[in-house]
Amino acid sequence: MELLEVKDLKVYYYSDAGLVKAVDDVGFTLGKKQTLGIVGESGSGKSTLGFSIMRLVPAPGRIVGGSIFFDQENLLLKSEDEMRKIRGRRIGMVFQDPMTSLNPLMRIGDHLVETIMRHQTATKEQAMKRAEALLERLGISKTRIDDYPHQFSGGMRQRIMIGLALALNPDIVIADEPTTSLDVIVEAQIVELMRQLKRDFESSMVLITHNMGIVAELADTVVVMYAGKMMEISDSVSLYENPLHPYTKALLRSIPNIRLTSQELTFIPGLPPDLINPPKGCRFQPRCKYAMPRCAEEEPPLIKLETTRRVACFLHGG
Amino acid sequence: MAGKIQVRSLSGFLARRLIGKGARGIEVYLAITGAVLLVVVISMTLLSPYIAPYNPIIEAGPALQPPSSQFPMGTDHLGRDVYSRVIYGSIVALEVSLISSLLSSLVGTPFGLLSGFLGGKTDRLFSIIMDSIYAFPGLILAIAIAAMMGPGVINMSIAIAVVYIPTYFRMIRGQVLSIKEELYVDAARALGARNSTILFRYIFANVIPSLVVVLSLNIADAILTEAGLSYLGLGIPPPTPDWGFDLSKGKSFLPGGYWWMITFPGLMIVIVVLGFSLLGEGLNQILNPRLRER
Repeated sequence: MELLEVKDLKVYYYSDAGLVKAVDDVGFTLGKKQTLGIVGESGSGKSTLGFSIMRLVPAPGRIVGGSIFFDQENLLLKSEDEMRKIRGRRIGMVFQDPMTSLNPLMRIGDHLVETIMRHQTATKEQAMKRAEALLERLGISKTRIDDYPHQFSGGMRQRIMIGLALALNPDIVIADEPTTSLDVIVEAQIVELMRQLKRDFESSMVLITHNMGIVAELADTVVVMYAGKMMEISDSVSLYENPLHPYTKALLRSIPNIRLTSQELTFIPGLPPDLINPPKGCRFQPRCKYAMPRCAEEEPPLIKLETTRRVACFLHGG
Repeated sequence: MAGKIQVRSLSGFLARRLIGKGARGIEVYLAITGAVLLVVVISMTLLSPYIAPYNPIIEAGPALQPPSSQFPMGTDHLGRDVYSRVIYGSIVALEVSLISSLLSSLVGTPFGLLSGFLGGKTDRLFSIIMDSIYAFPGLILAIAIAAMMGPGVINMSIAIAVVYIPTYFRMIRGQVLSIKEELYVDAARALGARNSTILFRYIFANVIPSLVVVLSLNIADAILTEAGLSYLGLGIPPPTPDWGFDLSKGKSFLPGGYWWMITFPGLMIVIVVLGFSLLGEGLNQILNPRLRER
């Protein structure tokens, strides 16, 4: 069994406006030291998916079905107490906005020391030593351990968040849009840092992003999500060389690429669907240029193509 | 890094805000004026045995003397020195207002924290209880409780404290509700922090600046309520010097032209209340950046 196995996961938001199926029948596996990329537009359910693994779906959201097996144990059956011991210690998380993800009243050192001591029996001195070493690994001078978050730039704060997520050497790090609010140069540095640390710490990673470029650089496997549904899952090389789902194709065509000068940058017409009243049949069908009459009638199942690829589109069978 | 300022405490935090660019507006002067007034009043209270020229409860000269060099604020109907009574009167005023504000914050804050943090039925229950206290007119409620409990510093403080508990509860609860949604709270949870850690280290710590502001404004209110209770004879029994009581005595002598008996205690109440209000308002604008932007 793999390190992480998500099966038929359903996460619904019981909002006042109606039922929102934010994650609907999503499943994937993640092996040791592997990186899984989850891509999709805003509102496709990819962040909800990340929070579900931590069992931190915000109200009125609820995990209503499926299973999440982590190290052979179903996380959905764990008590809140057991989950707390897993969070931070075995599964770490990095958030989108580093500017607000650190407590403004706590020193950087306190953040690190508190996280280390929360899960491990270490003296304050030992924890402090580890915190200093960790800071140096992140490319931040250890003399700044007594500084407050507001004294750091966004990029440095994101390094610190990554350090916090990795402080206890977790098996998996969930990175939810870790570079979205950073500028391009800092983004490149953070991606490089994540690559190094992931290798050094030998941890697996779930990388949630809408940035196809970062996924290409870091991910081994890619899940493409649209409106709460999985459109395609594939190893990243095949996905980039030969995208199968029309949505994946459109996503890939909408990112700038220096090498492909001949190709025009395109966008996907229309808007993501209203998840309270999703379109009948395939959810991407109203925006899909290959749509057939059948697409509006039936929902395409995930069709297994090769060992590593599955796609939910009638163009490929079903 | 240029301009690196180590912030290690609330005073450091204040210093940073005071030195920082955005904070050099009128609010700094408000806070400083308030602080200066309070330093003067508080040192007067602490040093009252040394600076008061006469014993405030013993006849010092002829009754109802106008202000003179011998009696700077005149004497009252029993020949006591008004100046000395005004100085000693600050003891009761400050004692009662500080104790009552402390008491109501000690009760209101934990309930507000729990209510905002837990939400749901707990929140609804606490809110209903607090709203029902809030529904009473404050002074009337304080009068009722004070009348029930009898005179004395502690009893009066309790009577006033009950009135102001909902003020703290509502403010803290509102703050918790907004801070609870901050990303750093989610981040702490994702790192395996306990609820208690999140509540104290992450939420309460960030509520403290607002608490300080409300405390300061509340002390001003409490002084007024204390004066009101004493004025009505529900305060400290005579002959202990008390501004509110002296006001009510002075009132009956005002028609005879003895203006000094009521003016000076009244002026002191105004000064102390102004001091706490200015400090509170100044701090509020300094500590609350959202308010400052307006």
